[in-house]
Amino acid sequence: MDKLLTLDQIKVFSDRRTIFRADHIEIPMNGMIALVGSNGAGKTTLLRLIHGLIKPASGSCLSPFEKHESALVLHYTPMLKASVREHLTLLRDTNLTVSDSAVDQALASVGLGHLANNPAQKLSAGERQKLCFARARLQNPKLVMLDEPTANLDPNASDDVEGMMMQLVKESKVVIFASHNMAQVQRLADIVLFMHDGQIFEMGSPEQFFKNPQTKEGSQFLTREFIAQ
Amino acid sequence: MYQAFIDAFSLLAQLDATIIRIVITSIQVSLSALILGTLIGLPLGAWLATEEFAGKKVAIVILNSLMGVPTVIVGVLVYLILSRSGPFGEWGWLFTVKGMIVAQFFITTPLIAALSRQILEDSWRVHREPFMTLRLPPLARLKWLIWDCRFSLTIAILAGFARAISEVGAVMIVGGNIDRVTRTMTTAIALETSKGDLALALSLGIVLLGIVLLANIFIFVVRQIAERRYG
Repeated sequence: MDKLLTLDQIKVFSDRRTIFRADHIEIPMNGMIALVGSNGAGKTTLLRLIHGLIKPASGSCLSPFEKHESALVLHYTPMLKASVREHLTLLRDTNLTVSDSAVDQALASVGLGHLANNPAQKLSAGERQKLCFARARLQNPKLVMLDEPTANLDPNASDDVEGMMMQLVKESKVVIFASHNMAQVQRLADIVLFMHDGQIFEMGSPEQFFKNPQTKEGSQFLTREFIAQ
Repeated sequence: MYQAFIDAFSLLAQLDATIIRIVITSIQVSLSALILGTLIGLPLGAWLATEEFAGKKVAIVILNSLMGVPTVIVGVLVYLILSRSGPFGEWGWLFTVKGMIVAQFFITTPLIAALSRQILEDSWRVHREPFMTLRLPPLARLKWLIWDCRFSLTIAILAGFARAISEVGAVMIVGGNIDRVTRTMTTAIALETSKGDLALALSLGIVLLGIVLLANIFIFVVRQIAERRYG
């Protein structure tokens, strides 16, 4: 199987603190990959690292994708004082070939076509997330990364977003998402990466991770998560 | 005193040609300086808000200080630059409307840049990561940041206009307060008051206040409409 990512002797610092480290790990390219772990475990840092937003202090992070071939949807994306359509047309500043019809198609694909000229700041949380999906789709990436894509969404909006994630996989895109929703991870993920204290502790299938975690930290995390949920 | 007010309103009611000429000169100078100041000050403020470089804090302190420089100081400096022995003396802009525009440009630009920087920096903190995530190039980031703050930035531009139209020191020194050429509302008010022609001074004062009030009302209405539309 092709490798999505090879991390080697990597360290990432923030304010002199190590926020992510890995000796050597190879993540296979396989459908939908879930990042799980407590707050501060390093999930967002790993997504930002893959997307090239942060650079490691040492080591290497190798991916077969070019920079422009990945899209990252943040956990929370503030909206500009601009229309829904303008939030997509701003991509023309990175890719001149983004056409009006492509913008219309992207909006229609997430069910926001009828809101194209409305102010984006008046969208609901679910609609905002859909808008970010439409924008990510318009970037035509091979790798889509989503940081807690359904956090703070109601069940209906969550279902819509999960549908869009599955659609991306059907379109042969690789999807990595960070989530605190273990039921969602079990439903969607092909591979689970468990992160703790800035490190990847476990990598495997959802069945393996949820039924038989290999580390004490993984076991404790699952116990806490399932008690909480 | 009451008679002065009655005479002032009488002059305004008659649409006195002297008043109209002076008002047009004032607006011409201040609007031109404002447009130039906005074209330079806004991108400068946006650049300072978004870029990190050595000496940025010093640059911000200097810019903030320039907001408060007395206009007469600006007037003297521009006078020296435009005077015959100055580096741009051969342009012949001293005691002309062009020279006054240059003087007011140096008054409005730091003000617009400093206020814009503050407004845009707050917005930059919010939008920095999404813009970086989308890999927008630097100029596109500035463009969308300014677009996002366009309604708040009207306050910076309004402040620039108010400072330009109401200042007297720089236009007096650089323009020379020449009748029918470089006389503005503020220089005329100063002159007519010293001559004792309070009616003309008061009528110009009323027009000046009216212009500033109208500009404020315009900006207020624009912001209200924008807030209703964009939230």
